Amino acid sequence: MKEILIEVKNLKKHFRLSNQETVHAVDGVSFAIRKGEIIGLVGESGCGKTTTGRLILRLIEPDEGEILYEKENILSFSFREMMSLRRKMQIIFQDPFSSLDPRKSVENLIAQPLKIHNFGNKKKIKERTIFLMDKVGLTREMSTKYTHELDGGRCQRIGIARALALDPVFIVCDEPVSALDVSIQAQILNLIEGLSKELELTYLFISHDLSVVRRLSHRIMVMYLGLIVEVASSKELFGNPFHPYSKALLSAVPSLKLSKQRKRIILKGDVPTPINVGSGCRFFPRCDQALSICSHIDPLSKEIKPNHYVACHLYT
Amino acid sequence: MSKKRYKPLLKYVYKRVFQMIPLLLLISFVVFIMLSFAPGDPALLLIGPIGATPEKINEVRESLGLNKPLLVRYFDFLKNLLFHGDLGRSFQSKRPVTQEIARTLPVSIRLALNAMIISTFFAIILGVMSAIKQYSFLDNITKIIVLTGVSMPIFWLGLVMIVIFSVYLGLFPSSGWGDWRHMFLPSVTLAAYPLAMLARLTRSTMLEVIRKDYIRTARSKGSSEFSVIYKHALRNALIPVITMTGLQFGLLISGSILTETVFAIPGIGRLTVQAIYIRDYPIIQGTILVSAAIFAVVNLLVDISYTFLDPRVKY
Amino acid sequence: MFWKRFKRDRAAVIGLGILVFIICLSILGPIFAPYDPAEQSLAKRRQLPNWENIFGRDAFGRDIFSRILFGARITLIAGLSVVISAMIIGTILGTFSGYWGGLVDILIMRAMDFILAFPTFFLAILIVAMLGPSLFNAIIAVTITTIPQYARVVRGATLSLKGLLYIEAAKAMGASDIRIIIEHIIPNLIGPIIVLASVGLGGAVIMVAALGFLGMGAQPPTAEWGLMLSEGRSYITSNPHMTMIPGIFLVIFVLGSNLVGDGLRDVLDPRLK
Repeated sequence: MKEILIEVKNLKKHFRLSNQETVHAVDGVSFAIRKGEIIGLVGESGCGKTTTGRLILRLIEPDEGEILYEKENILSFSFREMMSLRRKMQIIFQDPFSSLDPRKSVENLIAQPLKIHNFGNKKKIKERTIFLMDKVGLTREMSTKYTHELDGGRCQRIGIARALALDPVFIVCDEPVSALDVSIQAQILNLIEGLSKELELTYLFISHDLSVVRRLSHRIMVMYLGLIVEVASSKELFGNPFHPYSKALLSAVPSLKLSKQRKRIILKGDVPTPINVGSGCRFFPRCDQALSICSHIDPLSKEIKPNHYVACHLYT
Repeated sequence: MSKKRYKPLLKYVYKRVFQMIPLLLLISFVVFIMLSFAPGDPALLLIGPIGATPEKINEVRESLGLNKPLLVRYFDFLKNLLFHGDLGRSFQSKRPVTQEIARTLPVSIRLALNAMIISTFFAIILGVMSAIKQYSFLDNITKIIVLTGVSMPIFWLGLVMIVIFSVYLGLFPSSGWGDWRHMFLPSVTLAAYPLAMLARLTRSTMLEVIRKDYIRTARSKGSSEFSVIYKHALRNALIPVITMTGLQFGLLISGSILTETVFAIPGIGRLTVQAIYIRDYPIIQGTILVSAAIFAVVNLLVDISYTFLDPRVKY
Repeated sequence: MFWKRFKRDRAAVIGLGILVFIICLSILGPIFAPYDPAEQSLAKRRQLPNWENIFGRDAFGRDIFSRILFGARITLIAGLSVVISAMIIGTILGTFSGYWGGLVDILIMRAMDFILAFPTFFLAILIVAMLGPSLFNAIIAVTITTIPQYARVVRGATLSLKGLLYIEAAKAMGASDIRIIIEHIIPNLIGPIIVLASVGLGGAVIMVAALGFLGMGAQPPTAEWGLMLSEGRSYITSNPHMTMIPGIFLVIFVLGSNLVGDGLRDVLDPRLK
């Protein structure tokens, strides 16, 4: 098994809305990502997955916890150390249009990280830019175009090229295809997958869409209201989900195999908000298999099967 | 006003008044420091070029208390102000500053009020009329008035007024302060710029409001044109105008300096200017403090008036 | 691209014509001025306009026409200095305040509020009193009173730009705060700033002239229009041309710049209408 590239320990991030209300966006998340793997992070909107992605890159500062990159805690990095770290850890955003400066041409957008990190003279930068454009499937004629002249798929390719500019090792993909038409989604996903193999990249693939995550990820983490409730390999999770929430999520995934048509589990109750969560399991209000213990004790994560973890009292 | 809105509003007022005090203190301190760096020796200016020996200068400085260290002087000033309501004495006239201000402030306020009434009255008329009858003759006249009003330096306008109405037509006195004839030209001069700004603002707000949907609704309900204009449009259009009126006050205070100088009116603006010429520090200190205080109070009143006018605003 | 829209606004074009005229006056004027603006002639004092001196002479016998020409340059430079300085300083303060927030924001905004707590002209004459009367100090005084407007507008714009996703993307790439401010935030501010500047030019010119009028700005024998106004004031009954003419030119200048300012505003920021 490859070595651990990134390890996250007890990561917490709270947002204070007002004097009484705090959003516990990420409330004690721990996981490890190995070199070369594609690990999916799924959950509904508001569960904290996007925040987690941002925290790993230190785009937001965590309130508690550690983030280790190759065994070093990046939270104690100086500005310069972070600069060199940014060459290795990158991010692809969800909205291809608003994540790209509309005033810059495609060329300049891709070259921006190169310029920031003093990659070299104009010639070297231009060469690298063309190389990157080729890699993501953009033609040379597009270098002088602007984002408002292109479609979502092409813009997302720009975002990918930009992320690849400095030869990163790890990329956070924050819902990279959620804003794209279904027909284009497949293309971009293929591209992302291909690049991972070709360039030996490690991905944290964030999405609310399980079907998208399924084919790409080696392992999947399921997140709910700021906590990870289940972690398993892709095959295991889809074959044998344990946590009631995971089961509900999976039931909503359409399956082509008629025989495997799952029974739709409809969760009762409104979508909760991660504001002022009390003690006890977060999922308790919506869980149809809840035990009495679930209402006042937060379940801890346990390894049910090899490399399959669940945080649920049903399995303790 | 409902009891529910009364309490938080009162709290807000207390908060604002409370904040004003450190602000005014800071202003008085900063003004004090600034004046201490000013070139020119008040003692020298008082004595005049003849008879200005170093001993005499020092003697006068002693009597004015200028030889004491800066902070001591400031704390003396503060002490006098806070405990005795005393702003010191004018270097030149030796009269209490409070007296001088009491003499001049009412004049300036009268002038400002005149100007405000004139400008608000005509601005609303012009603004509303030109909005209703867009592109008409009146509208064009209004636009021209606005443009010229905004572009004319107030001191020049005053001089023009004097040349036309005083010198050539002999209708009004060119300076001084006494009856309505003395007040006419300066009030009109001071009103010109605010009138222009307000007319423009009223016109554009009215235009905006007239186009709004709820006006169409009121019209379709069959209300007469007049009631539509009056009840619905004007009410809402007046809100930014009220704001402007408050802001106007700042312009009027500033403009008073120039108007009073041009028309030789014994107001607080002219007092300040004269005081600066002769480096009469206590007067300068006093006038600036008082005008800043009045300015702050007017701003607060404007903010409060918002609660009455715009039900969406809550404190 | 904006030019086409601008051209359609006739008033704005007239305004631009006026400004260009004034600019020409200020550049070419001093070269072609028939007389030395400081040259006095006791015999010809207060002469009314005639063929020899188009605008007549002032209280010291100096040719008013030449003085107007030299004054154009002074007025223009003074106005531009105020507006450009306030723009630069205001932008720096506004972006720092908006982008970094926190203590920096509080301090800067408090300072701006402090400046705004004074009635504008009072503050200007106070500053000049502190620094001493001169054209340069008048420019400084007016600049200081103008900065808060720019700082506030820039701060507001920065706050709304700050949350844009591509700014976060730039941070992810390792861009420093300064780089982000320069490359992403400021280009988006140019519109509102230009509008403020062009609309504010007239006001700045008037304020500097007002200080000159009070004797707190340009000092004799400088041919500044505001100063010329006050110098001619004593003879307003007998020889009004000495006061009226510089005043008319001031009005023309301010009118021109206001027209251009309104035109620019309609082009760059139509919703402000």
